[in-house]
Amino acid sequence: MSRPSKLRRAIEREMVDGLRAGRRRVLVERLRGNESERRGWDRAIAALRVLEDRAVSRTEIDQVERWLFDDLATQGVVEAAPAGRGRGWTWLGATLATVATAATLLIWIGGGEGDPQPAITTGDTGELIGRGGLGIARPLGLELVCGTPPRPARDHGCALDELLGFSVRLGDEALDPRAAAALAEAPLHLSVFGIAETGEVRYYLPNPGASELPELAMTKGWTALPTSVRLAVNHGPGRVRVFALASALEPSTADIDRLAASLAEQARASVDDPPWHLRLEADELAPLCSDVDRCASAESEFLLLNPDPARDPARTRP
Amino acid sequence: MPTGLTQAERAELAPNGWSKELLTGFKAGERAALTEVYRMHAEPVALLLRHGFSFEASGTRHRFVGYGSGFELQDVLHETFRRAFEPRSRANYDGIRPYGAYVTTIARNLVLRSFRAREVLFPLEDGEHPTAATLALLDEGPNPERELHDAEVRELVTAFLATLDSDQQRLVQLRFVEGLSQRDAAEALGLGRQRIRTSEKQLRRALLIYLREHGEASLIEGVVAAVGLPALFGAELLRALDEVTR
Repeated sequence: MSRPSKLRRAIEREMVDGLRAGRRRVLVERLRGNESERRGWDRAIAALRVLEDRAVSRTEIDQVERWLFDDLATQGVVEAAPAGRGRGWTWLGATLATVATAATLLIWIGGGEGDPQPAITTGDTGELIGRGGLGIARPLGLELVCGTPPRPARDHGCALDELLGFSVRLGDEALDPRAAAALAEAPLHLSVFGIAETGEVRYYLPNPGASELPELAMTKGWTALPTSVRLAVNHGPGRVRVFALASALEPSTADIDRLAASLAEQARASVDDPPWHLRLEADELAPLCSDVDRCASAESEFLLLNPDPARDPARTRP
Repeated sequence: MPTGLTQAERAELAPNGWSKELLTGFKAGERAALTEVYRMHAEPVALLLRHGFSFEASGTRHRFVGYGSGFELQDVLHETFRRAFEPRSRANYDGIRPYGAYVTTIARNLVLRSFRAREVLFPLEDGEHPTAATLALLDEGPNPERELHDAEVRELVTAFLATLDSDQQRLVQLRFVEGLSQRDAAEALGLGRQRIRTSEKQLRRALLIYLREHGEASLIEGVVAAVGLPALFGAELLRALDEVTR
């Protein structure tokens, strides 16, 4: 018998026993917009439909019932499920509401959703909305700038003789109020690191010269970090993916190495992907994000241009 | 509104056909009432999301073909009822309009919100006459890839059923072929209802393990979760069961 992957084990456990609400939300977020990863889920549902002889199986409807009442209990809309109550296997996964967990990802739906007037809408910002209109809140924002005057590094790239700067903001109007409250409890520590095309890690915050991490508080605006990176040092031409993490605990360089190793294996994120810390396994994040409500992450990238334009076909790329 | 009721019983009903007690509990957010409403309406909404519907946007006729992915269907079903059960939504529900239509429209709006982002799900329907958006259920029609995939999943489930012992096969027969409730199945098998629940859970676990062990390599890619077409059900499963119980 082959050993299932962690993801497959989590899917099977969710379908049979039910995961705790927090873990279930993280799993669901991970599978949203990631067709290849949810293939195992979809196949299981397909087989259950055949087994139950239904177009939509009772199992999947009962599963959604458990999700629904877990979430309503978390929100304080209903009381938590008493043990042993419920239909079929629904009760098996019903646990007392856990911390809001992936509530950091759940969109806060404003205005009129309960009023069923047919309409076609997009998000207020015009951003792409995943299926079901379920956008992803991204409480941590990261903007890379370089040059003088500063320009967005993501759009135009940077030269090797320039400085790289960072702007961040913590807060999102789409954030669930519960998740916002969790993030606002106390300042979070901000760490930033990069992964070069070669796979090498670039330590921006902390780095050997700046071990003290800036603290982040919830804000409506962007804040420029009082640190800059001389790209002529330890950098070479090519694309650099940059990752920021706001966490209750300060990460060490060993933590950053571990995170970078996991992230280096992942493809570049798309609009449907959740923030990167929720794409990692729990043990890869631990102990930095043992309470994922108190963590937020963001990623960006920039192209470090070759000093000789003739040797850099990527220069014309955005 | 339910038929065959006495005048006194009708007097106890709210305009939407619910009991007044249920409506009061629902508006108050009582768990038992919300659970009853969910169980009453979840399946029709799920079937709408499974089979799709047609609609009109900017003067053009479109068709939402339904979610092929079980995960996506569950995700939207969950979001539909989460919104429907929000305190503000419950407060706004007047208890007069049929709740099924109300919650179905929320589900439809959720699908339509993703219209611009996921146009691939909405192929144009050439030759159809534009009409007002309706909730007409549409048959997706035959699709060779889907049929092949359906056949593969059916074979897998058939093979899985063959691995079950006689008690488990009897349980499948009663619960999923004859459609007995857990209570009735428990009675027929001379078992407690809790035992039936446990057995069903074990059955599901065994199926998932079987699928993992035998299904990953054999299923064709790209048409995952396209099974579940009603046309493939019933007789096929009966035949499969007949084969393994013979």
